[in-house]
Amino acid sequence: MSKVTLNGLTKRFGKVEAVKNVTLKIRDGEFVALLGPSGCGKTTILRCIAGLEKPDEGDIYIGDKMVTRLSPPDRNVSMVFQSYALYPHMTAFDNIAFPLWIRKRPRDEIREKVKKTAEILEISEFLNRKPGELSGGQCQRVALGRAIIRNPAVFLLDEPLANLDAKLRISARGELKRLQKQLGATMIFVTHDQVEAMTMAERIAVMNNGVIEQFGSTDEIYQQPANMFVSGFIGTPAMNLIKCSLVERGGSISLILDTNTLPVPDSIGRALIEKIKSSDMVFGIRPEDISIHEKNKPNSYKTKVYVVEPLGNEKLVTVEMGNTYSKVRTRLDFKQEIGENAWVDFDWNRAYFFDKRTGKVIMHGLNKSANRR
Amino acid sequence: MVIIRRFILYFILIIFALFMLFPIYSMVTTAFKTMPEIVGSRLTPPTQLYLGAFKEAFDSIGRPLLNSVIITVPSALIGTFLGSITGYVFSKFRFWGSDALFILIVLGMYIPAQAVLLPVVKFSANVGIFNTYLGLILPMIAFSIPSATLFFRNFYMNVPTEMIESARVDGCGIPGIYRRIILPLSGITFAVSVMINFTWIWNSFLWGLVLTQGPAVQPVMVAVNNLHGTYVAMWNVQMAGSLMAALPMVVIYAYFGKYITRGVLAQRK
Repeated sequence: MSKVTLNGLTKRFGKVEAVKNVTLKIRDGEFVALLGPSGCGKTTILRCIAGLEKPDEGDIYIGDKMVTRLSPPDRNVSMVFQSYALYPHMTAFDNIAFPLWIRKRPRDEIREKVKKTAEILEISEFLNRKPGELSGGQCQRVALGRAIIRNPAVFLLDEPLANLDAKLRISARGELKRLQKQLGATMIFVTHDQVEAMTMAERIAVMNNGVIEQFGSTDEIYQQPANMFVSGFIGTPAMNLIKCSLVERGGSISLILDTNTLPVPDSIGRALIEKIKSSDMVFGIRPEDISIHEKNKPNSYKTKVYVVEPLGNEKLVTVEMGNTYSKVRTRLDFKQEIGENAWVDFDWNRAYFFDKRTGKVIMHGLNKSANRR
Repeated sequence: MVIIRRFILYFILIIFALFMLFPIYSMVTTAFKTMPEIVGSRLTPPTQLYLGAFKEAFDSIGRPLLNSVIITVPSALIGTFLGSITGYVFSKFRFWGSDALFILIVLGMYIPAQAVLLPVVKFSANVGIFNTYLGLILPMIAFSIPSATLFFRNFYMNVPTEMIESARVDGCGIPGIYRRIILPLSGITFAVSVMINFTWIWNSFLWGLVLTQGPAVQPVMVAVNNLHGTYVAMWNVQMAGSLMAALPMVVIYAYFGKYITRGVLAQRK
């Protein structure tokens, strides 16, 4: 097991910069997710660590050893591919044994290790089958087996759960997390699914356009997003982001959304005014931090119900506020239907404000009440 | 209406089939006739099974038949093997000039034999392999590499690159990946390519004609042509010889034809 350090990593494909000057320090034994939309460069980073791509600039260290110029076999990493890349002409046993077989280990040792690996992954009874005769979940375990049998310094997993069906994916998530703990291994996995990243990883690197937007624990990423991209990417549904401007009129501070005025609590308004350079900003609030009412209440804001999505244990309501739409998570007994009026108010202590131009966070209500949740 | 259309279609197909089948009919019947019988009526079936022509033909082409086997088998196998290696490299690895090199190799398919006839004969005489088995095997291998390369490259393009990369990360080198992953996956493609090479090398008349002298090394296609006598045309002997020369190909296709179909279909996927 080893730590992994990327130092100013840049990778270009022709004129496209897939990875731009990325620096990342992954601790020994840590479970890290590279999360981002497709084409953000996350797989390219993984392939650079594996040695399948040569970076144009920057260095990669595994442990304290610089591996930037080493070929894949000399890096002591193992990789699980999205398609699993099992060898179709070999049995599950031979697939798992392959890395040891290449290293010309004695037959008895191979048999012993494959047996042990199969026990950990609970695939002992399928060892004689070929990949064509295995289900998706079993193939995934065989691919994991082939990766763990060598006991490498780092595990790299490229979308390891993407090819599983929805139900299996949820159980595989837990299994993979347990496996990582059990092996105490440094694991880096790539995913575009933020739930997968949040549930499994200790730390998440959120990527966009070849750069890491934020690297932190699940809590940090969720509670203190560094910018609009991260806040809009994390959470189901993601944070509502509403363009607005801040005005001070007659001693009270309000947000102007289109033509509507939304009064802001004084303490937050004052703090905000001190920090901003321009009055144009983006107001962010998560669906669970908006309360919705059937009747008008003081300090609430009138909206129209755009759509209601019942989820069994709660309802997801989309409301129209001028030209913007916001999602609200609410209780099941919320009665209003499409087209009817509803009144919302915001938990200002959990509101976020972003610079409209740079997307960077200006401040968030949590600065004052971090221990609320 | 449908029946009439069918009728016309089958009528046309049968005419084309007759064009193909008639020479074969003529070859088989003539081979079993005696010379006077042939002179009497060319197209009637033989009245008795006369095997003398086969014996006479075999006396002349027995050795060349063996020569053809000695030349064709290793050329077809080695040509296919080399083609699969180059096909593997061109399908899975990019290196400086790889595209240009690939085009150059494939261009080899379009060079007519006549264009390089003299240089090859001259070269073969200069290095002292003229009129030897090696003198025929080497050019046959060289000429089978381009099509085999293209054939295998197209097949290997469908082998997932992730599989190759996985083997690389697991510690396998480029030759190891070929031996342990690529080669075991290409069974049918291999068989098809060997057969295609076998066919054209076995049937190649021109190269046998210009690169050999006399029956010691001469392949069967040249020997069959020589059965045609100088003063009298011994039609039955010539047809018996042709039949024997064509037989190995017929047998191979009868046995392995389904693999060819399957292999070609697999390429299309």
